[in-house]
Amino acid sequence: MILVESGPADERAFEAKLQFTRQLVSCGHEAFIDQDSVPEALTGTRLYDAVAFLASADEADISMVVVIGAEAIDETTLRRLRNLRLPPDCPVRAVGWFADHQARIAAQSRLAYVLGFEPEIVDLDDLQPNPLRKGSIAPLFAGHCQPSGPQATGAQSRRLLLVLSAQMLEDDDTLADLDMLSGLSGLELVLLTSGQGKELIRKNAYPLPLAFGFGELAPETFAAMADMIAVFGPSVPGEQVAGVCLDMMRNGAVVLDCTQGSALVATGAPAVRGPYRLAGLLPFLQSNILPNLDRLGQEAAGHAWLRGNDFRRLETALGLPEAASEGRGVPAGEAKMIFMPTNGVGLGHAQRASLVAREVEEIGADGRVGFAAYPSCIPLLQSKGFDCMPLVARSEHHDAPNANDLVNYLRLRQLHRTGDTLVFDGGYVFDSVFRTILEKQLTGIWIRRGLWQAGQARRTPLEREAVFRRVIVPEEAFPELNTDYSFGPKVHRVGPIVQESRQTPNQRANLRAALAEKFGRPYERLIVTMLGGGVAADRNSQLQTICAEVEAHPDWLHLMVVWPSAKVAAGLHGWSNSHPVTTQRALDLCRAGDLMVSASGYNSVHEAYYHAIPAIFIPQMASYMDDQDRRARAMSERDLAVTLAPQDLMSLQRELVDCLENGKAEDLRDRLGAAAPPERGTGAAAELIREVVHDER
Amino acid sequence: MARRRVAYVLDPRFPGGTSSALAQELRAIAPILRPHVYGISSRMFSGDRIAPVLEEALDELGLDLRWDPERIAADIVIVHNPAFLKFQTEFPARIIARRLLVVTHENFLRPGGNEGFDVARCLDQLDRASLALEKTLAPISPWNRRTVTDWLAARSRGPRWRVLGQDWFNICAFERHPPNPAPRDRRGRLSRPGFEKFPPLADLEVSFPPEAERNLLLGADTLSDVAGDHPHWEIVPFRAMAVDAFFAGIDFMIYHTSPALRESFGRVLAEAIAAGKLVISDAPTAENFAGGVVSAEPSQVGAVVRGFLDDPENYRRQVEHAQAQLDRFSATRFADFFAEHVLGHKVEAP
Repeated sequence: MILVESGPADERAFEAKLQFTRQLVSCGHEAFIDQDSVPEALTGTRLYDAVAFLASADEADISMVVVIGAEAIDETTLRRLRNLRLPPDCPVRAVGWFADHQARIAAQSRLAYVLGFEPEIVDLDDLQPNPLRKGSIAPLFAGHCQPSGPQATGAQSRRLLLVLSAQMLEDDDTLADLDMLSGLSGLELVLLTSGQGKELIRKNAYPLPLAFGFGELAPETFAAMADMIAVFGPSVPGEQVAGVCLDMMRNGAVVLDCTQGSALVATGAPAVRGPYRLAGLLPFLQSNILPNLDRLGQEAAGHAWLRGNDFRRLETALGLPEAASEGRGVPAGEAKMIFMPTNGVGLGHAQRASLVAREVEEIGADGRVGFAAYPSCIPLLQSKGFDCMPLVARSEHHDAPNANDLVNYLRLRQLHRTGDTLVFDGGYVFDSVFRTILEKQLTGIWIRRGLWQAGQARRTPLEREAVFRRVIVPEEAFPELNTDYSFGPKVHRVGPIVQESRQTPNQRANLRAALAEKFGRPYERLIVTMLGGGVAADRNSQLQTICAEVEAHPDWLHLMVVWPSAKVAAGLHGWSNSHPVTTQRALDLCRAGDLMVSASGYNSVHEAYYHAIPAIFIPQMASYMDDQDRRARAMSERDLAVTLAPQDLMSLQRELVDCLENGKAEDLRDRLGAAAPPERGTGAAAELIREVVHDER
Repeated sequence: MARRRVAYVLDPRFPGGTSSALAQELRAIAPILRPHVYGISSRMFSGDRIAPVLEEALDELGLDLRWDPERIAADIVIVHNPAFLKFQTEFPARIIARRLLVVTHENFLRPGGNEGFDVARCLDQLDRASLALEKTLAPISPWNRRTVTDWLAARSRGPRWRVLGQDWFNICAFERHPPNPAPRDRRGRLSRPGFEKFPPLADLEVSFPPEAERNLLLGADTLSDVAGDHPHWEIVPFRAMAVDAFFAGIDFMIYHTSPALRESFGRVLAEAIAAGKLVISDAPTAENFAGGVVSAEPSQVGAVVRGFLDDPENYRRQVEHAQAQLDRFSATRFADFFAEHVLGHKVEAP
């Protein structure tokens, strides 16, 4: 494997290492960065960029070391290289912009001193007479991997990457111009700006387009997103944007040089001179670019300048072996459709995703359907016959809050190939999901149920909607609970997605008898509680209240359904007619029972409604959850269920007796039986998925 | 014969061996002539701090240092260590002389034949700036001479430089101490902290093993990050311990550098010999001391040390022999060398 090092050991140099390593890998070479060289300041989303390319240099089989930015080697890098104890036959290449012969000698000597043998110098001045950006730490060459065009927009729509500085975004005129550009039919904007620029956009009242930080994704990922890029500002803002421009030229996209210094055009690169001011971009696009887009792109891709800046020149200078395979492009083999449910308090997302996945299989999906799921969901999904790749759940034992998602990102990357489909069911689009869709150019589909709590942050989840080809919103059964959080042709509402159950009266009687036998006692009334796993809220006192009440009724049996990740309080094991149980047939159990006491998640409420199960709901209202209170009250306001606040323990005792001894549960069941819930949306959701996947292929 | 006018030229901010060597040299020739000393503020250093050891010698001898002259005219102009010109393209003064002598303190080539610095750039500056009947390079040791002649042989173009036939050796006028009559396995090394001064870690590990009674590494700042893996190494930063105290704490000075570097002379080895220590180094460096330094590769160091520990008498003989060899580098010998090979004839002190 090729170890990539950099002369300077600072954060900027690390970014350059990453950029170069990524390019090596995308051109089919095995390359990595020493995990010990990750700067401490590199956190958050930047770690996702790096994690796929990190390995331990102590353990790797190093076939070559490439030191970029070798004109300025600092002591940290020298120590690291010395400590590798490389054998003298390991080639070491020092790549850089050397001001003169002395600078070359200095770099070579310094490396030789710590290696104990001579490195080979690759002077970019010799190799690249007209570079896009002289002095860059990352060598900027146009990769030769298979070009990949823009994704996720469809043929009728064109996507424009717009590079703007924070300074420009502070200007109200810029925002107004952006708003006008956003209004151009058939043109989708993606902003590329600094971190500060991103914050400005977030604070803005305009409905501005999807925005990324300059280094937030790999240059090739950005390049694959769009048909055009327009770079504004005094010059090209950094090596990453230069890398995006190069990849886009190579891809046959159009690069508009709107910099004040004509920074791109001046190098001889195949860029088109554009207007300096954003206000001039719209007419320029309409009159000059959009009508000629394909021709301009073809001319750029075949331009002689690109050949002079072809990555192969660097590969030859480095003495790299012929790449075994191209890193990108659609590999052969069966396409996959992977469902990824998030892990809520219970198994709601997994349950819903499995219903849709089953339906997709039944109507005939292209390719194999499988799951990537958190450990708590895996038994359920496997019991339904789906293959599952395990994901890692968040844990307080991890060093960082997103440590699990970093691992999941690596697993999702490994699992998917370009062109696969990822169906995500969850409220918050994890970085792992967001990035994998973009990087692997997946067909992303988002099953996003609504009923968010008032005041919940919505901007980030909705920003990420842009990477999905389709958003499927399973409706709530009651109209007042349905709110549109986003609009547009990609957003589709479907009826409630609710589990079917074919339990006959006979089967119900058999199940009740089996339970009596299992727990060694006859009973008249069966209560099933599903109060959550203690993740979002502690329901121990409610459960103890129920257990205490049940204990006073020798002919009642109480089963406490425990989710796989739940913690069961020790005190719950001591009751004679209350028992914790685990089951993957919770719905059958609830249908067999006389009363369900449950949190009011989407599945529980809808199952109660569609299967006429009398229920007492105790909503859970953690800040990151849906508005369970509104959902439960929609039922109880229609006299279809009882809703209790968590602290209403006396009421809980009273309602239990009313329901089971005074006929209230049967009244509820009668009313539920008479209700006419809306048509289920499982089939429609599956059809929407099949349709978009079919269109893609 | 009229007294010759001799001018010394260097960047007096050189912190290491160049300034020390010149300081000794000025003292050695003081009885026979009073040179002019010119300082060139090259781009290699910043600030105006003269190396203390040189400043001390100039004060002691009552010599003025003249900074950045426009013109240097003398019968003999001696430029010490031309490497100070490697970061610039023009020598900032004109030199007019009968003889221009350039003392090549730094090896022109590293082991393997790669240049140690941009030699042509430095020499060409001096060549362009000087009008002289004779332009001569003066190597300081056998190994240094080899790098100079090899470099000249490989150069197909450019001005022709003569090479002085005798080594312009470093004066080693260190206080002498007798060898330890009962040497112990106390090993040490001393150098500036640059990476070039240290062999690969594997070589250091065999030269300074856990079984040695002491492994004292003075100036090993760059090893601080591996100290945890080598608890048997006493790693002391450069100048954090007096040199006398360092030598008092060891019996064997073991000195290997990076394989990509070779010392042009090895002044610190002479210092160790004078301090009464048995010195072990690589063969080419040992060659500079004509038997005064025991030649051994790192893998052989253990056996060499054990051999001398088993035979303290031999240890004593070797150190005393080495100290006798140092006489070749005395101030008197240098004055003779200077009179004969620089001034061209022997001159009696007034």
